[in-house]
Amino acid sequence: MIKLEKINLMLKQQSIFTNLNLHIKKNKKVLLRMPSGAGKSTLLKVIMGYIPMDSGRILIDGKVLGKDNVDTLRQKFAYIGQNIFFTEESVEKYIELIFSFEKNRKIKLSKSTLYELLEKFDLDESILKKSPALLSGGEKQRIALILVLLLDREILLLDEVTSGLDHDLKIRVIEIIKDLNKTVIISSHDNQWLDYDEFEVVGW
Amino acid sequence: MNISFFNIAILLIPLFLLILGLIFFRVNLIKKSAASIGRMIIQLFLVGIYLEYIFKFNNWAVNFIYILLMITVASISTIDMVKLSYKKLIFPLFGSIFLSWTAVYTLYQFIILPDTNFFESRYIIPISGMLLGNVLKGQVIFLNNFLTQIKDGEDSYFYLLSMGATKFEALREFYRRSIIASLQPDLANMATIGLVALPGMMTGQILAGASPFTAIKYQISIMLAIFCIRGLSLFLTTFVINKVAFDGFNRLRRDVFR
Repeated sequence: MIKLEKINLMLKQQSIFTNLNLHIKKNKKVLLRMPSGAGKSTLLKVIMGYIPMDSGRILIDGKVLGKDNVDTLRQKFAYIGQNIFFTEESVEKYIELIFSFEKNRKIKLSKSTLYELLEKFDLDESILKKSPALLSGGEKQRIALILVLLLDREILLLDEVTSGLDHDLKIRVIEIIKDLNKTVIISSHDNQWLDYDEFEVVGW
Repeated sequence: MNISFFNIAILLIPLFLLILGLIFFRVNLIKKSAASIGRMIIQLFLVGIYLEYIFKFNNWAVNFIYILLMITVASISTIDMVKLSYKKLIFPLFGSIFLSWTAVYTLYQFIILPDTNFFESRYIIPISGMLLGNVLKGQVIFLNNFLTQIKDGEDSYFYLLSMGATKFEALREFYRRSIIASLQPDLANMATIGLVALPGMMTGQILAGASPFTAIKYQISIMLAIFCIRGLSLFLTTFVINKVAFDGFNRLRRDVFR
């Protein structure tokens, strides 16, 4: 459960949020639908404690997000931002890097699940050998999503994850996300999300 | 062989011809040239005067203070060139540079100059000057590169953090790239050294009458020391940055910038 209480934030002398309250129940799926520049991406970052707010509280499962628990609370989340690039010389190496992190070492990377997910997201296995620099925007978004699903986090914050995809792929990705048993907050300009009742539209 | 001031003054005649050339090509550099040449002459004169005294005193405390001064200037220049906050970074950077200097110069002194006094001004001042000048170059490239990368790549950094990386795990790739960028010029410099221009220190020794073989031995030793100190100071600065430039939420602090 995520609860935002009276969030206030000014960025570059512009008020982004004034007394914003938001309550997202467990396993709810929320679509942030606002014009560009209204602060959708910013809100996702604020929820994870990536952008400091001027005042207000963020509660995650009843705990107030603060310096002491930010590391633990962030482990409940997975966040996909708009301008991510992958390091390492191949996609496969990047996946291995993620699984080599101290906190992830206990999680076993199942190759069969990985291949299943690649197929589900319409990606060929050969992409694993590709250099991340050669991936298209849509390929990167899907690989990022696959990694998030492999880590099996409770809450997903997805910033424009369908923007680089063609119509059919958008539908495919949206249908995968709609069936997830997770709390999801989506920021997107794509209208296809609106066709599904699973996503509750939110604005401010 | 000493050079007379009269002979140096005569050098101003070809300089005057060059200025006529600049006027002919309408190159608007006359004021700037005059200012730069003037500064060069005055600064070197001052260096000459105080080095005369420092070498005459050859007092360990004076020399040590002189080194501390050089380290302070190197730290300030780094902060200045990367446009960072003096308050936040002066002590951490000073510490990082001071530690690298202590480690590398101590080793250099014990291995290469075992028969001389540690604070012998004839050695400690010029050699430390070369080491610290290089540290300055390396630090500026490193910090510029790292901070630009982290600002541009913030989404990737946040993605890695949310994927379970610790701060250091998430930053490692940024550090790796910045260390490469910072060491690259020094590596290129070593790979081509002596092919065209002879390095300054070696030239100086040859002009002063040393055998070329003595000169290259000094040159090799100083090049190795420079590489070591550039590398070491980067590692130390990495620790410093990891501590100072991020807040409790692992966000890049905006107040490290000016």
